[in-house]
Amino acid sequence: MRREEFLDNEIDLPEGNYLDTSELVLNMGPQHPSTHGVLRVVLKLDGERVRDVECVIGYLHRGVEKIAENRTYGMFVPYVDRMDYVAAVSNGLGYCLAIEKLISVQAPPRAQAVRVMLTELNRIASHLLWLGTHAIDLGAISPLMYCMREREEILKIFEQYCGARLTTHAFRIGGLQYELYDGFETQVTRFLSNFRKQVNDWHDLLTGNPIWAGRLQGVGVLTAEDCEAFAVSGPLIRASGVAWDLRKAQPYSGYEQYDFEIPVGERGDSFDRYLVRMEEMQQSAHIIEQAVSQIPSGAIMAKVPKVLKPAPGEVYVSIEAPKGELGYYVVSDGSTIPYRVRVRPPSFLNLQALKKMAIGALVADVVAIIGTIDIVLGEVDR
Amino acid sequence: MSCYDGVARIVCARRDEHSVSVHHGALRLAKYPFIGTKRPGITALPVRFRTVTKFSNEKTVLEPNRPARYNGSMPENLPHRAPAATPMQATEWEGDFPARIRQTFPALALSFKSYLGQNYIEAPAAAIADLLLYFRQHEAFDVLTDLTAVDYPTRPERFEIIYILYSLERNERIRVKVHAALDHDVPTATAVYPAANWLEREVFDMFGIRFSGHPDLKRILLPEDWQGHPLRKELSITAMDNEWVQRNLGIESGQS
Repeated sequence: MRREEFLDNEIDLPEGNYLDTSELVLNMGPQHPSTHGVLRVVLKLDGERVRDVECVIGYLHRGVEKIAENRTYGMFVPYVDRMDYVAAVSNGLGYCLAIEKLISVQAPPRAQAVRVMLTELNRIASHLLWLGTHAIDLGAISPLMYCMREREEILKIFEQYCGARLTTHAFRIGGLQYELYDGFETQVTRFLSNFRKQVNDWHDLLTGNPIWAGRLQGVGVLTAEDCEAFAVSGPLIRASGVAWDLRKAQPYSGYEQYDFEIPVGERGDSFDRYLVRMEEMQQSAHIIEQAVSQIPSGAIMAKVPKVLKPAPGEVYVSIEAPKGELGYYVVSDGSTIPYRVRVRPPSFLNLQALKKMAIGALVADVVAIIGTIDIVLGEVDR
Repeated sequence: MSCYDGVARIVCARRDEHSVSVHHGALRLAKYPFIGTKRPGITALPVRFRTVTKFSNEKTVLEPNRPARYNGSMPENLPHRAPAATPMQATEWEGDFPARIRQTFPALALSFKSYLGQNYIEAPAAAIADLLLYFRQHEAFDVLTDLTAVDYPTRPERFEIIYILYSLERNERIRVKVHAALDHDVPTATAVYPAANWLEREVFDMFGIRFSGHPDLKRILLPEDWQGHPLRKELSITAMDNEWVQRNLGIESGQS
């Protein structure tokens, strides 16, 4: 029975029939490997089909926004790395840009180029982790090994640059703390040339694979209207056919200088999201290649007062993080401590659309859909 | 089971004790295991404590019936300061859009402001659903990017609720702000923007602002039996930590 028929037809059997079905409530998670962390999904099942979905979140809530109200502007920068910990560099970039907007400072061109390179490397690392874990959810074991091997190269670059692999604290308000190390360019170039070949190999491994296509095609469809209604952003809205990328729509940190394209899907299903992310990795590699060949010289830090006291006011600044639109709404009251920092987490809003995608699907498809949303619970719960 | 209590002495706990914690050199034994608070129907954890310096069966209860902390008053040691001496230096937002909205809603007291190139509208809370519906249907603001709130406890209408709207078509972002007093409801935006569902639940969870007409207004990030709304300014992190630890574990939290 197709999904549409299932949704239209109520099961109509005489009462007391031994074929009577009853609704089964199935609890998935929070300790379930395919929920990518501590997500609990309560499924109402009719046989193998999902009637209703409820997400229970908050197991990883650490009160990041409350902590921000007790730290100075500079002290809070490392905390944002702990939200989306697989894309810590993007978190830091968004926060630094928001505070820079608040104090009307712009990072120097060299700092902007380094920021773009590291952020795009982080985007590749985030998508690699997504691809590996998504594939292993669906039963394909080997892509995880390949993805982790490439991701390791990126983490080594981070480690050489700032000493940390995951929660990098790479950027500071106003620019960068560290100069690039000797041999950064050659290491990045060597990684990229190898990486682009690898992505083509993965296409051979997965894209043409009938099992892979069968598990993803037509599963978890989101139309463009659904995406707008649920404020879904990032690769999900692009897979639904909306060519919207904040790096193009509202460029920041010098993204307007680079030549890249926005990959767009047609059907909005899980397979399109997979293809969009695969192409985004190639486009990120393309951006890094351009940036690494022409890193401007000069200072890496703008003139920022040692004690930051932004004038009373509020700004909302958002960037295109690997998961979608990551926004910071910062309110200053003129003191050294932010009055309020609100994080607009992309995973949180993307996860809200799970209900829309999963109703009518099979239980096994729910695993595929959760994987294709690419959630990080550290960011959903904050 | 044995445990090192910090004074170079091995203390043997009884077999039937589940959890052991060492705090300030004194060994304390929990009668029941610590369990998660996410289980429905459990409002207080059944954890009782007694202090053991030597192995003995004597039972002592640590400070029973502590008074609740959340009485809405402002503690002395707040990290938050007096209100800002100078308010935000926002400029008037001129142009077609404000004029058009004013013409459409002549009865509403709207103010159009701009700060650092970002535009926002201040509107009365009762009209927010109508305004959002108009923005979505006629002004192509089809995405509710974010919905959040800020607490200003010294103002008569202490909560400021912020709707961040985005138009894919025009690539434009505006904010709509409304104000709400402590016991006033705000009309829900879920009918206009389904994305508001979880966002309003989060605002309710963190600030205790109620959204009238919301289909399922309950806590989202914190456990259902959590007391208080932590992003309100009168609650400090240490006070909440002390309160939780004392209520659930019966010991001093060690944080000051």
